[in-house]
Amino acid sequence: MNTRTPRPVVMQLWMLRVLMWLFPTGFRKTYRAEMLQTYRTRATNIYARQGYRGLLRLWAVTVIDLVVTAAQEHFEPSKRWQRIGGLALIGGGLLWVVLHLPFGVGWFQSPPIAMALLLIGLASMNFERTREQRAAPLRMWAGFMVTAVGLMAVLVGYMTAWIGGWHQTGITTVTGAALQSVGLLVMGMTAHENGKSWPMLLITGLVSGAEAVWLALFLWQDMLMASMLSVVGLVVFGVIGAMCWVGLGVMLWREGDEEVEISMA
Amino acid sequence: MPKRMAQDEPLPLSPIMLHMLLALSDGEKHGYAIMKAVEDDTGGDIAIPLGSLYGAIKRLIGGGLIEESDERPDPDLDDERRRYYRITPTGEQTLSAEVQRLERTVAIARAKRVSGKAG
Repeated sequence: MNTRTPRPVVMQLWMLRVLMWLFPTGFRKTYRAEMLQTYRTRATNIYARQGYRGLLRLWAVTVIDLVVTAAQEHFEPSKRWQRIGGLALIGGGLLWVVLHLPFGVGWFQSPPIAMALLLIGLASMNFERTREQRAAPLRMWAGFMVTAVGLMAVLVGYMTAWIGGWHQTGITTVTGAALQSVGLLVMGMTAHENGKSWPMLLITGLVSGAEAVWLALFLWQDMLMASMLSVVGLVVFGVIGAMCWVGLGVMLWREGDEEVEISMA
Repeated sequence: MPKRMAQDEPLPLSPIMLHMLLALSDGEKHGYAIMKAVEDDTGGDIAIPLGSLYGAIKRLIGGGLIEESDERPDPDLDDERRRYYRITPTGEQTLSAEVQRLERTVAIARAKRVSGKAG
């Protein structure tokens, strides 16, 4: 059909093409042309009936909706992301323990690459939302915010503890450990929201918290470094902590297998 | 426990998905026609924005409730870039189950003398 497209609609279509880049590649490739076509028809009809005011109202609603739905598409649960998250947690946990024990460098000086993998796994686990949650956008976004805060706490806690361990500053190390633990517990609560592996995540947070207490006790006795290098410190907080991460990864991987694929391949 | 249909599509369906399936129950339609039908059916109460429409289409296809149609009502009358969608047998089953669920809900409400009018 060759109906002439009004100039304001043409301008909006131009901006819409830019906004389309917010969507994941697969979604964009599949629906971009059709979405533009649909918007063109709808906007042209509304412009004919309601003029600029109607067109502006449509544009405002469309932009907000596109931003929200693009974010939803990025966080769409899928086997692929769950498996990547699971593998990241397994890899991060193994790296944590493998590089941790032989060098005896202590829990908080584990390599950044291990922490990066663990953060990827945690993000994959916690940003996943169920369809029921996506139907309640306010609750979903509140969950995203809490998860982001939890991730930041884990990251900042790790970096703080790392710096504390490097400079042998006890109070910094303990503060970092406590912050990391709080972040994990917060994420455990959001994981509970989507029913995924939350008990294991809470256990991981508690192990991290127990380590903070353990370090604090030794700090009180002015024996921080001794605590970090002690056999108890290495075995309990190194091995058990890493086992928690690997366990989380295995659970996430298995849940990825169980999850019904609802997105287009 | 909500009844689960094939492809594990849970009931209740979201209002948007329910109305989209209803729109497709009387024949295949393209995206804009679905949007328009839902708006007309609900008297303007549900106006599906662009992103939500195609997000829902993607999920309905992924859940096996609708599928893309190869046929076109009349290629001369329509833009060839448009895709048409039709409801699948699984989609019809799910829609039917959802309608029954809603009927039961209404029956309960009537039994409790809950009026449809506010106040």
